[in-house]
Amino acid sequence: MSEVPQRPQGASPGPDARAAHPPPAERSRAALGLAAAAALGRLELQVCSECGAVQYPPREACHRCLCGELKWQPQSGQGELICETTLHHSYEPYFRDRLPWRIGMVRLDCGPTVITHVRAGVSCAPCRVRIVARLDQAGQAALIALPERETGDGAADMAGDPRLQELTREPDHGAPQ
Amino acid sequence: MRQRRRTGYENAVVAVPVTVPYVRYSPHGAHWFIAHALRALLERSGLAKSDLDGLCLSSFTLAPDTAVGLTQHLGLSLRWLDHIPMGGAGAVLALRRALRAVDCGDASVVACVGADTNHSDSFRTTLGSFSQFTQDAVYPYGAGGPNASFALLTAYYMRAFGARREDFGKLCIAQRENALRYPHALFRKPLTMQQYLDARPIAEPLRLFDCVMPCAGAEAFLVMSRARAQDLGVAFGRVLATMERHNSFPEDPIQTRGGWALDREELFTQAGITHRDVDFLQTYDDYPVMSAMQMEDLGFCGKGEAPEFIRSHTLTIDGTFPVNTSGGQLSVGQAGAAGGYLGMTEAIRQVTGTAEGTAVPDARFGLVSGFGMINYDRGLCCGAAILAGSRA
Repeated sequence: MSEVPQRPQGASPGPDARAAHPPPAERSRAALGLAAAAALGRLELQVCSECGAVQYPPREACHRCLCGELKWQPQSGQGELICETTLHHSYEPYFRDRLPWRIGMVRLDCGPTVITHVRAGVSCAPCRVRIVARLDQAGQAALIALPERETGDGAADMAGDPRLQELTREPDHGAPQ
Repeated sequence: MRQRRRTGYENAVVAVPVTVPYVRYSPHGAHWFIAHALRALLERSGLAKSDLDGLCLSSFTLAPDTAVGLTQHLGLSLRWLDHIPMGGAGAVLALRRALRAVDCGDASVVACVGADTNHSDSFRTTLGSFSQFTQDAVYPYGAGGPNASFALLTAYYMRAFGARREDFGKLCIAQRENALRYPHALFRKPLTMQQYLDARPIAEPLRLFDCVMPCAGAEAFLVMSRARAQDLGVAFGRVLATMERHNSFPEDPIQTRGGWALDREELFTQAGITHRDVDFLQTYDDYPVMSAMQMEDLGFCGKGEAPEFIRSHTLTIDGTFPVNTSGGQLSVGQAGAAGGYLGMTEAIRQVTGTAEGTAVPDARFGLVSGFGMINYDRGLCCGAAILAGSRA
């Protein structure tokens, strides 16, 4: 096999190259409510107007009673990290450039199981966590598990985890200097 | 109301298992592989193309076509057509539907085909838009694909039931040994425990040899009446019982079991055999943890006992409990929807005495299990069929 091309010494891909590969941006219309709340720093999930079932992933109708009227309502995000994995392979360039990447499954106290990013500082599964919602670099909602004791209401939440800090940074801020 | 007893499959049989050899990548479309599968079915059965009046198709890479587009693409005039987008459960589900169609006279010969191509980027394209829940709630979290989902299930299962990496390794190594006797396997070298344990991590705890390799290829078989099979002089197998379940146990916080657990009793009752009579098991082995769950939920051992079951058996063709006798997807490769057919075509070969290199001595009864479609956090489709030879 011929020589593998190497990136020139000292050169980094830089903000422009990274911007060319944002995180996956496609979502269904049903998922818009999640992003709308995340833009305000809030975690909201769909709650059925009739039976009160809380559900995730976002749906068009209630999975329990089939009612078509679902309301986005704030949730505490408390739950248990029931398992986790660290990815060493990804199909998307955004994540491929930033491996390894830690994700997990959280059983929320309000019912649903969510797949989530797991911030540095969260203990190994199983453990209690709090899920917060932030906008990611694609302008979409990203769910992130924090240690349960953290309230998740400040911009400093992601300090200590450069990958998630970068993922949830507002696009206008540009690259760190 | 008392549930009516299920009708058996008295008249329709399964025959002519076909494999279109796998390749890692192909410049051809899925249509090409389907055409080759159909051609092999006709050549091996002696049927004319016009004799084929039913088709049941599974394919992920046919888009923008569906099965009906294929009828014109390949010049097929049919009176019965089905398209089953249910991944690893495809062959069991195709078999169930085709048997009824033939038994009831809606079709006389049904070709069941699972086929896919693999271009350098087609797997990624399939992944991101696999389902609405995947797109919204899985793919954006690291885009690890099925490896990530099954890493989570495997991590949980290992902690809950005390499974070790070595247990899964034993299964993978046995399958590789089987694959060395199967002409179409893409993996041609033995696998050692050290290689298995030391392989490159993909999504912890999964390493390279826990993951199937996407490739291109096709698997197919025919369903027709027993009389027709006898006229044609083709070896055929009988189907003693089948089951399917979708979205079983939705209240489980994470998948540790599948719909087989709900139906195994009826399955064996309908088949009129016991677990001891089963000469081989073909699981849907997209990841070893799923083979473990299928062993448990189909009733070969209790919940959480698969690790011990694996430790106490030899799983090779000549072993005490032969599993995935062709090598399974882990050693043959996963040709998309054909992966859901791999165990079925191999099982038909086994019970019709045409398995050659991989033949389990005196195999009379075989169980084929299907599992498919991680829509969000778990696989939704479960299916199983018990097959027997024409004389068993």
